[in-house]
Amino acid sequence: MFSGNKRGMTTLQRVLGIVVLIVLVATALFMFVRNTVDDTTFWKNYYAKDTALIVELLHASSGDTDINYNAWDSSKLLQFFLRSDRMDIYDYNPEVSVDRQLATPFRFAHNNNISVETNNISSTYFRIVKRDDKILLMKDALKASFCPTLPITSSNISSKKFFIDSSNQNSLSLIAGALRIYFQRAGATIVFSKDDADVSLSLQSHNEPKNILRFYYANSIERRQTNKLTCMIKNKMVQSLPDHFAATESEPIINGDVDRELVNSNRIGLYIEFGSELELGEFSGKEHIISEQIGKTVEEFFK
Amino acid sequence: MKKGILSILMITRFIFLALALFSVVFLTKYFVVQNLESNRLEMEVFYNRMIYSPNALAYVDNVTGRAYPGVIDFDKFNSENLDKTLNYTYKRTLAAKLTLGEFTPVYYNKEWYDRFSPLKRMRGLSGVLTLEKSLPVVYEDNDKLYPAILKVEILKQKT
Repeated sequence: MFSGNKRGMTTLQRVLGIVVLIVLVATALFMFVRNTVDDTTFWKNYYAKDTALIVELLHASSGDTDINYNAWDSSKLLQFFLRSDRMDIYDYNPEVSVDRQLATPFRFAHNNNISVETNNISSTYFRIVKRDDKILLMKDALKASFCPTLPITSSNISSKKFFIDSSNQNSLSLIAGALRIYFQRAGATIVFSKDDADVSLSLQSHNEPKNILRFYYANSIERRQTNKLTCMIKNKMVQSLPDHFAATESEPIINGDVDRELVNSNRIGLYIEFGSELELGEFSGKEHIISEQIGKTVEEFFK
Repeated sequence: MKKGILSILMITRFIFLALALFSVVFLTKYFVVQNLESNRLEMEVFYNRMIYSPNALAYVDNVTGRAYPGVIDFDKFNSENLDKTLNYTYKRTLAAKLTLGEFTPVYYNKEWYDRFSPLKRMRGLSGVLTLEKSLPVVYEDNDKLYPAILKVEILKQKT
């Protein structure tokens, strides 16, 4: 069967070549199917159109304009590449450059009087800015809060019991310690069991290569309140340290998630995951900023 | 087994494999909604940019730099200016005809307007979408303002 042919190529080599080709095609197809199933394709299309049309509208605006944009509907982190005549959206993949990826583009009309600064951004929050006849993307925090406006039962923070937990990682235990002191000073009670707490917070690290700030909130009867608190803390943290977080994600804790059972699932419970240990080094010396931002937000939440 | 028969058998297997792989893609594309219908929005955005952009038709005060929405600068009201200030690298998307009062109409992307125009009544994907608007404006010519009706017809290829 695998004897040599006239051209010197064996049947085995030919079959292997075809098999490699099939594997490549199959991988590409399954990548496509996977992206479709988790809605990434849809969100790439959506954000390409949405951001390109915003850039188009910015061409019509007179004066300076800032638009705060958040792309948190996509379950995957995306890369936004603003080019002179279009917006290209790519999957976020630090190992593969955008030149080697297939873009989801959407075009806008360019104008010689306005320069569109080419830049690439991979962040859940960014700003689309028009300044002095120049349009660009800026990696900056949201200035305005998009959190839901829920009627929060007015109750003072001093009547609340807090359970704060963290991993042994140096920065995180410092933040947790500072938070305990913050809440004690505000008159709240610190408890050492999540079951006794009205609000439980857990600070942990994840192993993602990028510094993604993740929030997992307890799926309890106070889920809407917890969701709002999550949103408020998220905005505040990204605002205070915009350069340290590439993206944020938030989702409810799934029942039976043993890795995240440290927070009280019956009341307000929030599990905050920072970047990998290596990236947590970036927060060295900034722990007080994070703890103060979380503390202030919780205090504001209960006002 | 002879080599020829074996090769034929392999080819049929590969064809079936290809069919199986592409059927997965076809079913996914068919059952999962991915497309966003935004043709109308794109035409509206284009219309607004054309009328209100200081770089397109809106009159701009040279001293203050202020743009006046709804005031058309007659010096800018020509096809050459529109093509230059609203420059899509992909020309086949949008075309427009603008008629200001009794003046001769001006065109944006005339080449494709002439091609799209006969397709206006055509249904299906080969047809084009139309957005027609008419708005009262004033136009500025030699430092004087004149009232007029601006009729805009935008044609867009269906995507």
